[in-house]
Amino acid sequence: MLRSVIGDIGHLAVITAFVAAAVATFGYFKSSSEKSLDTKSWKRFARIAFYIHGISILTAITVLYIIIGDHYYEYNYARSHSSDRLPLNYLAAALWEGQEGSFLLWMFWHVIIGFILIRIERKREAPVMSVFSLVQLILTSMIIGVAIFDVKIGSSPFILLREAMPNMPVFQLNPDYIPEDGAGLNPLLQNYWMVIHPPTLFLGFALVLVPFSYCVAGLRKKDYKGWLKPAMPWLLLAVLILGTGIIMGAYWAYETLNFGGYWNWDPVENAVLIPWLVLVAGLHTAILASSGKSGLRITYILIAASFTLILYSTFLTRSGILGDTSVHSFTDLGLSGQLLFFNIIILLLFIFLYLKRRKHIPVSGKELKINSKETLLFSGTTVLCLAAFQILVMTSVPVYNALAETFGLELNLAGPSDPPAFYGKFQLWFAVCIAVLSALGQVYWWKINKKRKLRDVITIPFIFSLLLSGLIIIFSGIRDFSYITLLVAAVFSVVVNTGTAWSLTRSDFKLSGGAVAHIGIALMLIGILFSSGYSKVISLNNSGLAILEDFTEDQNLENIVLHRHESVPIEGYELTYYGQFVRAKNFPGLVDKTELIGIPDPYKAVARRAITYQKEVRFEAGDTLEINPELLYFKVGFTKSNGKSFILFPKVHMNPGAEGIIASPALRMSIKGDLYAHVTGIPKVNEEKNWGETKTIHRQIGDTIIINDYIALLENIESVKDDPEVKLTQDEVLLRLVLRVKGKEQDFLLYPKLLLGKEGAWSIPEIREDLGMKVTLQHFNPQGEESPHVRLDINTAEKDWIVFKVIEKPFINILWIGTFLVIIGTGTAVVRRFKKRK
Amino acid sequence: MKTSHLLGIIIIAVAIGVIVATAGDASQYMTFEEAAELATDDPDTRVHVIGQLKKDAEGHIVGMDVSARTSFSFLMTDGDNETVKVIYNEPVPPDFERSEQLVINGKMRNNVFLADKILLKCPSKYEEEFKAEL
Repeated sequence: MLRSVIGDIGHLAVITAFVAAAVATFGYFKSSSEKSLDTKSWKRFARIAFYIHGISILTAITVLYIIIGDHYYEYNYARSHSSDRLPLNYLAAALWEGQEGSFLLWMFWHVIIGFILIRIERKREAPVMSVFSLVQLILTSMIIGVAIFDVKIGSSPFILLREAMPNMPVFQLNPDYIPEDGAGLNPLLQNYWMVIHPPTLFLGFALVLVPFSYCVAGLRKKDYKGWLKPAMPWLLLAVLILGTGIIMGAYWAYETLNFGGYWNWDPVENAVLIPWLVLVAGLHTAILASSGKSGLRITYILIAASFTLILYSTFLTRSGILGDTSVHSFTDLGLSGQLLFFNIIILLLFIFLYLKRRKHIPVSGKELKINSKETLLFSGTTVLCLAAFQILVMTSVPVYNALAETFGLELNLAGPSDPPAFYGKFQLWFAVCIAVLSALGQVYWWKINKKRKLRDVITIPFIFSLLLSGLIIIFSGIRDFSYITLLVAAVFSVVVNTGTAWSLTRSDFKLSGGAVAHIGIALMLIGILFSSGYSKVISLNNSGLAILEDFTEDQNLENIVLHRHESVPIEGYELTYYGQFVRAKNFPGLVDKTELIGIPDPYKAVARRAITYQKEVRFEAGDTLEINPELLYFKVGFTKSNGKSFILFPKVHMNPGAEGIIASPALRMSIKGDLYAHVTGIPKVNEEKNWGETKTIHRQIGDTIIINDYIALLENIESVKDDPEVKLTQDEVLLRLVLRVKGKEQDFLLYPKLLLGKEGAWSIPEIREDLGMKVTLQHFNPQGEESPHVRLDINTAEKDWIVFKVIEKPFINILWIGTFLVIIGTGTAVVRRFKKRK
Repeated sequence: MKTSHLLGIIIIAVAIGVIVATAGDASQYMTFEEAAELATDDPDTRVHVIGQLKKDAEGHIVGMDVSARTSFSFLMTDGDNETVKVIYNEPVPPDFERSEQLVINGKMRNNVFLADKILLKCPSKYEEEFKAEL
């Protein structure tokens, strides 16, 4: 039975939310417009409308959660994003995997922040919330899913599958068709980062709206400066949360997604970095504006720009325009026109309002002195904006193509051929400027006054940082001029900001937030310099394959092939691949796949023998285990030249229904840096092995033979009653040969079997694809010459293998330490500003 | 000269520099023929080419060689219907065989394309499963 009621409830909730947002916008606007007389009652009216809007959004989210969680596969959203096997803790991730769900998540945060603002903001509630309600109105329109005169407005998450795909032949046969199972969540996204990263990022998006609403409110109410104080903590919080969201994404990409690094200058990554940089610039001018007279106009522009850029990034990632240039943008839902319209409307409204009010915004009138905190702050702001601008100009390439196309031109521009090199050559120098300016800015802000000159404060730290960076350069072997410049600048920034933070902490610890955050930024720059600038593939393979014969130059292949139990040397290590492992339900560790016997149900397997964890037996031989066959772990041993060794377990997601593998790296972290190892290729799962020619041998129990380079001992022959693979009837006898194959780390026991019944004998061969051997017990003679005698058929094939890549990321920890300092420093400032808000 | 004017001039100068550099570094989508012409002038210029995997009448991919494992080669047909052998210095990326469209980034050499990067466009998993179900 098709369950259409729940979707109707969801749809109704969205429509209610839309209408209520429209009413709230109108009410708040009325209440805050100058001509309106009865502002109090308008405000109360609008507030109720916003509450109704909020509750409707919460209802819509709950309904969508139920549709996904209870597997309502007749709905398109559940069919695309959920599945029966999806673990409960990833349901939330499935909720915001799709565009509609992520819009709901974004709106959810707006609702929560709106509720808080209504509670705490008494004076400016109406003008601030009018902007909030307007944005909510537009966002709700993205998921409303109605058509007016054939123009589709929004894409509803509550549509049925048959509405989404009416042309599917199955619906002609059976309009009430409900799929058995859903497509599920992309295995790469089944990860705790997918649960925490999007909410953080969207909270960041939502927080950017707060300073924007305040600044629009300031313009409308001609309260040109008064809004800065209440908006400041929100502005700082937006910088903190959005920044945390970005770095979380970077760490996720590094640790799980296997994009090879933490930042790849992908348009989707850039799209969020750009507004953040502008927002940070706006934060600095806002601090300047609230403490003096200059910087107010630019603050308006930067805050508005950061919000507009958030909308622009939404447009880039959701309109499908990035198609050819990005690996991970959303799929196109046909919302591009609507998104663009939204973008332009907000921008034009702001420009109109700003130009109308511009001449009333107070300016300092005094000329900037070259050595003043104002000049330093403006320079820093300028650098941040230029950095954002450089990324924006290139990231917008698809937009230029689309624009040219509307004018009938074919531009055919592609992104940079080598993004890190392209962005790096500018961003490196911007980073140098930011490091120096952030150090001097803090010094000027706190320490320079009429009595104390810059020279008095800066000389000793300057000499000290030169010495320190000199030592670092000598020991690390940095020789590149631009890298040396960045290193010196960053070390200088760390030293000076540490000095500032130290002296501030002694007077009032709460004031040191800025200095601590700036230390963090400088440390991040050092971390990025080493880990990216000196990232090195150490699994080089110089074997010169035939495939590359056409090329005269030397081609280093960055991947190597490891066969099971064979050691292969790479730079600094010797690698040994030991085999595949899986996770099993109710088992804390990993289970060696060779300990398991596969059965038709891929999600289950039978234990070949007792499976132990820390010497405690968890499963007996013959027990059925519930396993996850889609996630394979590969045990790889690393041995250093000094004999020390460790084991890594890089992962591979087997993508069901699709070719190929999705790898997740394993990291070995140390003070000197990370070793980043991942599996880049494995044998095809269903491919028939080439077992070669059969070799028949006659041996006695106790003999030793060589199979596929392994030494194997014919240990014993025994009769078994109980076998996990064979069910015996009364008059059958099962014999098995115990064949002990000597491995490098452990022995493997193979049991080729012979089933003796009334009608004759059957051989049940032991096939070990991992070892590349198939052993068949053809005949058994208990009266051999001296001891029992067997006849074995032996086939061999290539041993199991993996293709493997290992990268060194030196001193990457400095990047993460810096990140934490930025978060702690900014967090301290947020707390201080919230207390000072009134 | 006023400090703010100086700042303004610096901003404009850097902004122009950025735009010029972008215009210079943004590569263009090309055909194999154009890429080959470019390679004779400047062998190290890297270009983007859009195309599809070469398939036979039954839709099977032809000319793919994965025997080396750490790298592989395949045949790609560009928009002008020209087919060229492409070599990629990495193992086969996930979903490669399913791709509807490929964007390769690299350089042309002796009528062979050496790719540094491959970007795939695949039909959504969802649509395909649907086809399988029916």
